[in-house]
Amino acid sequence: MVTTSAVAEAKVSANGQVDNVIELEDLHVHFHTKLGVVRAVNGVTLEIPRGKVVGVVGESGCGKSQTAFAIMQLVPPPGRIVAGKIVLYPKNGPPVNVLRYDRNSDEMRAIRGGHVSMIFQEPMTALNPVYPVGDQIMEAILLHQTTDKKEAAARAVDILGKVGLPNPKRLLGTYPHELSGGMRQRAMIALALSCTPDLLLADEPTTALDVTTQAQILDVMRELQAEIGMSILFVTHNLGVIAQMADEVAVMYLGQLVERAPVEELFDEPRHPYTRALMRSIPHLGTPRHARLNVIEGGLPNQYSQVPGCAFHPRCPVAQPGLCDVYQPALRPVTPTVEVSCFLYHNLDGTPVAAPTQTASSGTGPPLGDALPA
Amino acid sequence: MLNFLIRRVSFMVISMIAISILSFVLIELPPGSAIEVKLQQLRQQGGDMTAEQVRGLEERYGIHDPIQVKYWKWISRAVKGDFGQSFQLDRPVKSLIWARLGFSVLLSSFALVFSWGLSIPLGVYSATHRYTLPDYVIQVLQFVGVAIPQFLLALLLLVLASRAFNQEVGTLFSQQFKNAPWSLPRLLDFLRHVWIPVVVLAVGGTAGLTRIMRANLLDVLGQQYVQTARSKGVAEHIVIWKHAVRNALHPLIMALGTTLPLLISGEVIISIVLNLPTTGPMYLQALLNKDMYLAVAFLLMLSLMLLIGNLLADILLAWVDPRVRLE
Amino acid sequence: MATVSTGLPLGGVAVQKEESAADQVSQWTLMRWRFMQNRLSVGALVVLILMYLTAAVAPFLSPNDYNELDTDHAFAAPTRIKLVHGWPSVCPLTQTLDPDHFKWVYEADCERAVPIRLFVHGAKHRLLGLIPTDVHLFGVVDVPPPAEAAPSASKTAAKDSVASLLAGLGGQNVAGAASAQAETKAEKPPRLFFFGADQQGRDLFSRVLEGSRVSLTIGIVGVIFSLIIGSLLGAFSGYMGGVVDNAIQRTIEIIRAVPTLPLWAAFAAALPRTTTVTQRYLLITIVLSLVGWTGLARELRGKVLAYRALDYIAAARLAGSSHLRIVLSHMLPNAASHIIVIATLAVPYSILGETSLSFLGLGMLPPAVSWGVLLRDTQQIQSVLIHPWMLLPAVPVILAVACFFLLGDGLRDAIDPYS
Ligand SMILES: Nc1ncnc2c1ncn2[C@@H]1O[C@H](COP(=O)(O)OP(=O)(O)OP(=O)(O)O)[C@@H](O)[C@H]1O
Ligand SMILES: [Mg+2]
Repeated sequence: MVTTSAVAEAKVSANGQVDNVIELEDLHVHFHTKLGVVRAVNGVTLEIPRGKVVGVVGESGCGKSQTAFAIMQLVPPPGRIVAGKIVLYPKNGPPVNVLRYDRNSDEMRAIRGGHVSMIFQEPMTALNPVYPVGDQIMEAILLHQTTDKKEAAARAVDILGKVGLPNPKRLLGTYPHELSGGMRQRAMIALALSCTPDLLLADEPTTALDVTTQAQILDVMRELQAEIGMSILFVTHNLGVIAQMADEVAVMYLGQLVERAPVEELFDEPRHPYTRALMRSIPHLGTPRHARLNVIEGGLPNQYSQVPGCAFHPRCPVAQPGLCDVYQPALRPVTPTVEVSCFLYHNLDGTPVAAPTQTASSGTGPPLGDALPA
Repeated sequence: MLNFLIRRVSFMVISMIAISILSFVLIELPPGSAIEVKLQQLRQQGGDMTAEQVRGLEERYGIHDPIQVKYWKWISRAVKGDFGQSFQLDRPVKSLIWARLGFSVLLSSFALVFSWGLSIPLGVYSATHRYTLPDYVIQVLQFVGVAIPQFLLALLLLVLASRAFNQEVGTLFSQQFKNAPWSLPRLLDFLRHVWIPVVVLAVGGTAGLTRIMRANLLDVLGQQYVQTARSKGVAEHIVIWKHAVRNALHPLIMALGTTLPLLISGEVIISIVLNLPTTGPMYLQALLNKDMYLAVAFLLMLSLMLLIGNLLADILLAWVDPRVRLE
Repeated sequence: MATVSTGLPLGGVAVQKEESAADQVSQWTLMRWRFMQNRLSVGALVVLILMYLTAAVAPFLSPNDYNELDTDHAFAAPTRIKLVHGWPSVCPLTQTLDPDHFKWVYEADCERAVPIRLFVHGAKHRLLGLIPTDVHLFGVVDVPPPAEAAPSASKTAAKDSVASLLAGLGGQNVAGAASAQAETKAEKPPRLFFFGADQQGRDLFSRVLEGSRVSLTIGIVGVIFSLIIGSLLGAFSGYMGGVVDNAIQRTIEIIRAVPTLPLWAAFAAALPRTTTVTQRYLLITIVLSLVGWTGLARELRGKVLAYRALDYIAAARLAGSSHLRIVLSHMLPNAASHIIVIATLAVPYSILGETSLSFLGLGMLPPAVSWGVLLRDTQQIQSVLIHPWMLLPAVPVILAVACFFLLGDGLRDAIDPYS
C-alpha cells in the first residue's frame, strides 16, 4: 500500500526528455536542540540528471552533508526531515517518493545500498574496525544482490580489483587498520559501488587524503561512474576538485541553494555574490606571494537564528538595504542553464533585472508575488 | 602473544613480591602479634611444651630477628607453598585458604557473568531509547546501584530474605550439606543459597557497567562506520548489535580493570556481613588478631586473583578488537 | 568579529550582538552555564550544600545530646508526632518488657503530649564551633513531673531484673545504667526521637547529624590528601616522562594490583588502636588517600601528556622556565577543571571507604560517631529485624554518595561536553 501511493505521488518526468535520477523538492532538515532549532537544510530544490556528477560546494556547516543524509533518510538525531519531497527514479522500476517510507522500513533499506549509496569524508573511520574489509563488502552484496556467499565473495574480489586495490583476494580477510588512508577510501568506494547503485552520494571523499592519492581516487571514481552509468552527488569544499569532477555545480549557503550552473559557466562567470566571494578566496597561480588571501568578510551568523531576507545579506558587499534584508530571493533562471537567487538578477516579482550590475542599489517597487517577508 | 604473556607474567611476579613485602611490613610493624601471644601462652603452660620447642618456633618464625630476616624466612617457604601457621586457629595457613579462595573466585565469577549479562542489554536499551522513561528509570537505578554501599545491600537482602522468603542466610549450604562431599543435591542446595551474595555483588558492577555501556554505545553510534552500515541497508537491530555493540565492548572490557577490584573488595565485605565461608570473614579476623601469616596469604591471593583477572581481560580485549595487538 | 557596513536593519544587528556576546564569555562562564543546564546535577549540588550546612550546625539541629544515654528508651521506635491543637507534639512513652520475646515494649501516653518547641534550651554546644550556646532549633522541654508519678519500688525491682536479663542478651550497659537511673529519676519526660533510639537509648537522629560531620568531611579531606599526592606525582610523571614516569607508573600499577578494600583494611588494622578521635580521623584519611592517589595520578598523567604536546609549553620552555615552574604554573592550572571533576568523583569512594571500614570495626571507633560506626550496630541481623530503624543511617550515606556522583557527572559534561 505504501508502495503504490509512493509511486502514484511520484512526479514522472513530463515527456521523458529530462532524465533525472533524483529530484529534491523544497527539502527542510531541522535539528531541534536545547538551544534552539538549527535549520541545517532550509528549502533545497535540486535535480540530479542520470549519469551526471553534480557538485555541491559551500562553507562548512551550510548543510551539504545533511542534504546527502536526507536522501538516505539517515539524518542523525536530533535532526529530522520536516518537509519536502525526494523522488527517486531507479534505472529499472517505477519512481518512488522516498520520504513516504518509514526510515526503518524494508523499502528504505532496499534503497540504501541498493539504489543509493554513500562514501564519507573520513576513510579512517568509515569502515568498522572489528570486521575484515571483505566481510563488510559482502554484507552489502548479500543484502541486495545474492544470497550465495561464494558468489558474494567473488563479486567483492571483483569490485576491490576494479577500484585499483592490489591483491584483492587477500584483502578480503584484511582488517581496516592494516590499510592506508587511500586504500581504505578505495575499499569504501568498492563497498559503495558493490551493488551498482543509481546514485552515489560522495561526501568530501578526498578531503582527508594527500594530493596524489586524491587524484587517484578521483580518477577511479570518474572511471567507475562512466562504467556503471551512475550519478554522483559530489560534496566538497574544494573548487579544484569540482572543476575536475563535476558536470554541474550547486552552491549552498546556510541551508539554501544560491546558485546552480554547469561547471564551465560557474567558473567563467560566477553570478551570486557569495559564489564570487568563494571564487576569489581560492589562491591562483600568479597571486603575489604575500598578498592576503581573499577571505569572505564576516562569519557565519548564529546557527540558531534565522536571518531575515537573503541569508547572505549581512556579509554581502552589494546588499541592497530595504530589499535584501527584508525579502528572501528565490532561485530563478538567469540563463537557460543557470539559476541564481539574488535580487541583482531578478526583481521581487520575479522579472529579470534589465541590466545586472554589481552596484545595483536602486529601490524596487512594492512587494509583489512570491517573495515573502521572512 | 608469547612475548606478551612472558612480560605480563614477569610483571605479575614482581608485583607479587612487592605486595608481599608491603603487606608483610604492614602487618608486622605494629607491636603485638598473634604469634607472640601464642608463644607467651606456651611459655606459661610450660608443661605442654619444652623451652626447646618454644625456641624452635621462635627460630623458625624469626621472632627476635630483624624484619628483613623474618621476611626472608617466610618468603622462602611461601614460594614452596608453605605460608606458615595461623596462630589464632592453630592450623597451617595453606589448609585454611584454598577452599575459601575457591568460593571467593566462584562467587566473583558468578557475579561478573551476571552483571555483564545484565548490563549489556540494559546499556543497549538505554542508549537506543535515549530520553525515554525507561532510560531515565535505568539511569536513576544506576545511580542508586553505584551509591548504595554493598554491605548495606547485603543487609537489606538479608532482612528481605529472612522476612519474605524465610530463607536461612549467612551460609552457602544448608545444614545437612555443609560438610557433605559434592553431589548433585549439594550443588542444587549451593545454587539456592548463592544467589543472594551474587545478586548483592553484581548490583554495583551492573550499575557501573550499564553506565559505561550506555555512554560507549552512544559514542559508537555517532561513529562513521555505523552510518556506513546503515547506508548499506543493514537493518537497525543488526546495525546496533553487530556493528555498534561489538565496538562498544572494548571500553567495557577495559573497565574490568576497575570492576575487578570493586568486585573483590565487595566480595570481601559482603561475605563478612553474610558470614559466608569465603575469604572475607577469615581475613578480617586475621587482621584484627594480627594473625599475620594468614592475613598476608589472603592479601597475596586476592591480589593474585586481581592480576590474573586483568591478564584475562587483556587477552579478551585482543580477541574482541583486532586493533589491539598483544606484543 | 564581523565587521559589516553600518546602517543594517534590526535583524542584522541582532545577529551581530549575539555573536559577539558568545565570543566574549570566558571558558569558565561557559562551563558554569552548561552546568546550570543540567537540572539533576544542580539539584545534587543543592542537596550536598544543605547536607554540609547541616553538618556544620549539627548540634544546633539536634534535639538531643547525641551521647546522652537513656535506658528508659532503649530501642525506642521513631517517635510518632501527633498534632495537638494543631501543633506537632510528642507523646511520652512508658516502657514495659515483653517477657516472651525479651524485648522492650513501649506505650504512648498521648494524654500528656508535649509540644515540640522551637529554640529550646538543652545541652551546651558551640554553634559553628565558635559561639557557646545551649539553644537548639527544636526539641521538647521537660514538663514538671505530675505529683503522683513517682515509680513504685516493685516496678523498679522488676525493671532491674529485666535489665540484667537484657544484659545477658548483649546489652551490657543496660543493667548498670538502668538501675542507677531508675532510682534517681522520677517520671521520664517525653523524648523526641525522629529516627528512633539505639540500644542505649541514644537519639539516632542526633547521632546521624553528629556522624555526618565525620563522614562528610572525611571524604573531602581524604580526597584533598589524595589530590596533593596524586596531582603532584601524576603531573610530574606525565611531564618528566622517561625513568621518573616509568617508576611512578609501576608503583601505581602495583598498588592498584591489590584490591582496594582489603588493602585499606590491612592499612587500617596496622594503625594503633589507642588514639584520640582526631588522631584516628587523620590516620583514616591518610589510609584512604594512600590508595586513592593512584587513580588521580593516573588520570592527571594522561591529561598532562596531552597538554605537553601543546605549543605553549614549548614556548615556556624556550623562554627558559624551569621544569617545576612549567608544571606548577602552566600545567596544573590547565588541568584544574579536570582535577575538579576527578576529585568530585573520588569523594563518594572516600565516603564509602570510611563507612565500610568503620562498619567493619577498622575505621572510626566508638565513642567517635560516623555513619559507618552507627551502621556497625546493624551487624546483629536479629536486632535489625526487630528494630529496622537501625538502618536509617544508611539513608544519608546513599544520598551523599549519589549526589556526589551526579555532581561529578554534571561537572564532567560541563567542562567537556563532547566526551
Ligand atoms: N547533531 C547536531 N545537532 C545540532 N546541529 C547539528 C547537528 N549536526 C549537524 N548540525 C548542524 O547542521 C548544519 C549543517 O551541517 P552539515 O554537516 O550538513 O554541514 P556541512 O555543510 O556538511 O559542513 P562540513 O563541510 O563541515 O561537513 C550545521 O550548521 C550544524 O550546526
Ligand atoms: Mg559535511
